[in-house]
Amino acid sequence: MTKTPKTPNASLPAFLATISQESAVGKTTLMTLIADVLTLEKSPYAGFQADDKPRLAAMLGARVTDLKVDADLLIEQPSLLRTTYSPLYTACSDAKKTGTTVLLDAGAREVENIANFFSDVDLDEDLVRWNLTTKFFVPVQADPESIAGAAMTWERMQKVVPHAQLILVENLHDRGQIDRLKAQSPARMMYDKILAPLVVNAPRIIMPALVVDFWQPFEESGTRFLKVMALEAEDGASQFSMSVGDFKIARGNVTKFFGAMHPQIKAVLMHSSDGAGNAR
Amino acid sequence: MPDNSKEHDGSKSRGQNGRLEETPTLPTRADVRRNLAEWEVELRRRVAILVRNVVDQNQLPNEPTLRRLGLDGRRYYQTSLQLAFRRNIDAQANREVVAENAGDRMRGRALVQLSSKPNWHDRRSERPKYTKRARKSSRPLVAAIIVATILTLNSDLLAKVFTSLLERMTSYGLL
Repeated sequence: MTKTPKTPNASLPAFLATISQESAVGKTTLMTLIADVLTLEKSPYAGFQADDKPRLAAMLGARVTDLKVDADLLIEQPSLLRTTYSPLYTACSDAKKTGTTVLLDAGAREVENIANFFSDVDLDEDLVRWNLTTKFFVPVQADPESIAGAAMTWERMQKVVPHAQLILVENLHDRGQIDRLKAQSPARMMYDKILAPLVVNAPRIIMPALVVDFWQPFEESGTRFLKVMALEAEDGASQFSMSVGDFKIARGNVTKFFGAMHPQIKAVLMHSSDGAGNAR
Repeated sequence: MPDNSKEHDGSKSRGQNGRLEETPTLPTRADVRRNLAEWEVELRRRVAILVRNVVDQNQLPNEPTLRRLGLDGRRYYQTSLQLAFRRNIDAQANREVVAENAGDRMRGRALVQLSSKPNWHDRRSERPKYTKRARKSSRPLVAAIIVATILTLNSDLLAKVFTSLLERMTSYGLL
C-alpha cells in the first residue's frame, strides 16, 4: 500500500491502537470502524492483532498480521516477546516513510505483554524520534469490570507511552451512557473514583449501541461496514440468507451506526496531538 | 463519504507482507441515502403491522421482534402505537357510539329527575283489596236500583220475584 492520502494531514500516518484489559467492550468493532474511516480517506494502513480470536483479520482480510504470543513458551523464552512484536515496531518505524498508518487491535489478555514490549524497546522515545502520532483508543462500557479494566489500561499506557494520546470510547451497547447512571450505582461510583480523574482532559467518542441481531451476520462472515453499506438489498439478502426486508433493516442500522461514528473518529484522527499525549 | 460512483474495481493487490488484499466496495452518499430511505420504508411497514395487531387483535409483539426494530425503530413503534390509540378513541371515529351513549345519558337524567322529586301525597299505607272496596262503594247504588225497579213494576209476579231476591241477597249479606 503506497497510495498517497487524499488530503495531506499532519496526524496521518499514525500509530493507532484499540486496547483494554476488559474483553467484549468493542475493541475489534472499533478498529474495523477506524480501518473503514481510513479507507474512505484513502489513507493506507497495516493491521496487527494480538488476540486469541483473530476477528480483525476476518473483518479486514489479509491486511492483518497476527502477533499472538504463546504464553507457555514465553515463560521459558522471554525474548520471544520482542521477536513476536518486532513486525509492529518495524511498521511503526517505517510508517512515516511509507505513509502507512499502523493499526493494532490488542486483546484483553495481551495488554500486559504489549505494555512490557513497549517498555522493553522504549517505544515512546522512538515514536517521538520518528515524529509518529500515536493514539490509543480505550473502549469502556458502563459496568464496573469494564471501567476498572479501562482505568488500569489507561494508567499502564500513560506510564509506558506517555506521548501517546489516549481517547476514551464509551460504548453504549447493553448498558447505556455512564453519565446517565445513578450516582449511587457501583459502576458510576467506580467511574467517578478511578476513571474520571484520568480521562478529564481526554477526547471522548460516544459509540452508539448496535443491535447484535443486525451486526452478527456481517461480523461472522467478515463483512466490514463499508461493504454492507454498499450492498444492494437483493444481493445482500441472498448473500446473508435473509429476507430482503430484514436486510434493509439491518443495513439501515449499520449505516446509521457508521454515520454516527465516522465524524467522531475522523475528528480524532485529523486532530494532531503534537505528540504530547493527554498531559498538555 | 465519496459522492462519486462506486469505486470498487474488484481487484486484489499485494499489500503488507506480500499478501493479497481486496479493495472493499466504497459506499457512496447515494448508497447511504438509499439505505436510510429503504430502512425507513421497511420500518414503517413493519411497525404498521405490529400496531394493527395490537389495536385490532390485542396481540402484543414479543421482545425479539421489538429488539430487531432497533432503538429508533422501537421509538417509532411506541409513538405510532400511541397515535393509533388516540385515533381509536377519537370522537369522529366513534360518532355512532357517542350518539347512542348520549341518548342513554339523557334518558337516565330524566329518570333521575322524576325519582328525585318526592310525592308527599302518595299513599303510605296499603290500600284494601279491590273486591272489598267495590262492595262498600256499590252497596247503596244496588239498593237504589232495586227499589226503583220494584216501584216501577206493578206486576205481582215481578214483585214476588224481586222480593224473594231481596230476601236472599239480604240473607247472603249482599245488601
